[in-house]
Amino acid sequence: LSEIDSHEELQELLGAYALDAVDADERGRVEDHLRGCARCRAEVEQHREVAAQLAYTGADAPDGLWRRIAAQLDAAPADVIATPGLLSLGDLMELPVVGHAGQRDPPHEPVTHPRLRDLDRTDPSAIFGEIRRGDILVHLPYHSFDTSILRFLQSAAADPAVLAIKLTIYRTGRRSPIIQALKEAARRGKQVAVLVEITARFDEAPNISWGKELEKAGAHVAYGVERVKTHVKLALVVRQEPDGIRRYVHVGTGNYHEGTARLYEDLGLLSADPELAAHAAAVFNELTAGIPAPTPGKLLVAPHDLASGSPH
Amino acid sequence: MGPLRDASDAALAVAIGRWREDALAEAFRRHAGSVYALAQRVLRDRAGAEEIVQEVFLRLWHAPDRFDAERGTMRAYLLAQAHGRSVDRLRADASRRRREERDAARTVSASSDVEVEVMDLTVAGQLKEAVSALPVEERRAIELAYFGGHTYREVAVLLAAPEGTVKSRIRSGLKRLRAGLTDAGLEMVGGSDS
Repeated sequence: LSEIDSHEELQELLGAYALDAVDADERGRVEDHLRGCARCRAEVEQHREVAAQLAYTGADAPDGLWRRIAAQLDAAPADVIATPGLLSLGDLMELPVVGHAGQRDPPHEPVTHPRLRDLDRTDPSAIFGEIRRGDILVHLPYHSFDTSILRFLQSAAADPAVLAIKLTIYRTGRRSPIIQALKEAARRGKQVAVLVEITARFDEAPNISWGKELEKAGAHVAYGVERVKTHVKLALVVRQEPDGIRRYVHVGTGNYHEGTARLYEDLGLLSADPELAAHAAAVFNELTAGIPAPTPGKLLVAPHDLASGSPH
Repeated sequence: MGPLRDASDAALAVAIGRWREDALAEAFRRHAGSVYALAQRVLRDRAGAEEIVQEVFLRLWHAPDRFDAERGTMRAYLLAQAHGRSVDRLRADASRRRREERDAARTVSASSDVEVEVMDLTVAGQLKEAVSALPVEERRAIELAYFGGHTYREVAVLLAAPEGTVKSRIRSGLKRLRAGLTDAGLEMVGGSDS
């Protein structure tokens, strides 16, 4: 329902957007929407064509301007390197965007994991109760990321019983709701520790900027571990419960990224298993404080014992 | 080398992609005057406008695939580039503040002076007709946003109108203009009308 609302709301902005008459925040919101909405894209293009008519002038550009441009075009033969293929994988990202509507799959609608379907939406502690009843295995992109892993993190941020949240971020979306949730948690005085991998390909710069944002909100941020690329997708939530402290873990194969979670096939386990959670806590201590995690443990961790502990 | 004078936008972009300087020269011949005039109008600075023209055409030279002929005309693409760059420059510029103060003072003294951004300085024929058929509030909102480089929120302040109203006026005005231009026999491209 909120998507319909935002379409209506953003539609009203399209004229101003096409004339560059929106502020940076609105521009970002419109552009996010345009990526998924062909109708709005077409409308923006129409507005731009009209604007181009308004800018009509019979006059020529000032004398000499072409010559100044032409002087900058020359490339020495040594500057030109012919290549038979693409220069970078990023070029491939452009491909499916243009046309070919008939060759696209219908949009995929993920379903909520059956164990999470009937949870009280207004109760941030509900998902923890369900995880206590037994582990939940989430299968993306068939299961909804938003109603499982994102909800787990958002609940942790909102739930007064939660004392601490620890998370690894390899790649996450622009204006990520996960970052929002972590900032919110830090502001509420929870301990928030985040490991941001700064060598994530394509995402180096954004990752540093999220890191800074989180630090500003009061989170403890560690920027990667020297000489290893931290690719683990691990989240730990520590909760004060009537019978003592209990830890909840999410361990998965997919990034905490609401965008790629709609595309990539990944598994994620939500668990309150004490042994698993204790080892996850030890792994975080190694990642953020350099205190080695015990091996062997419930988790196989590279580069310590993933290779030796895996079936051959 | 084929004749470029009659080449379509798409053919021109392909030739530019093959590093044909004469193709870029043809794109420049067709559009540089408008690109310059728009940048000059937004920036009110000739040297700045010339820099914008250079940036826009050098970008076309280095990344002609950014222009997608399926989605619109090269003219609209280049002008949108020039407009976006001019506005960015304006908003980053200290002179912006001076202009805003001047504009604000103007609104207080006499709101009709805002029409200093009039469109009919450069236009002719069908366009003039379509523009003059526009309700004056829509026309002013578009002028201030497009030629003045203001955000719709700033336009709202300048015109002492609610932000939401200005936002809608810009959109409805552009739609009305499109209809007017189409009625006047101008073939409007870009996005299907369905």
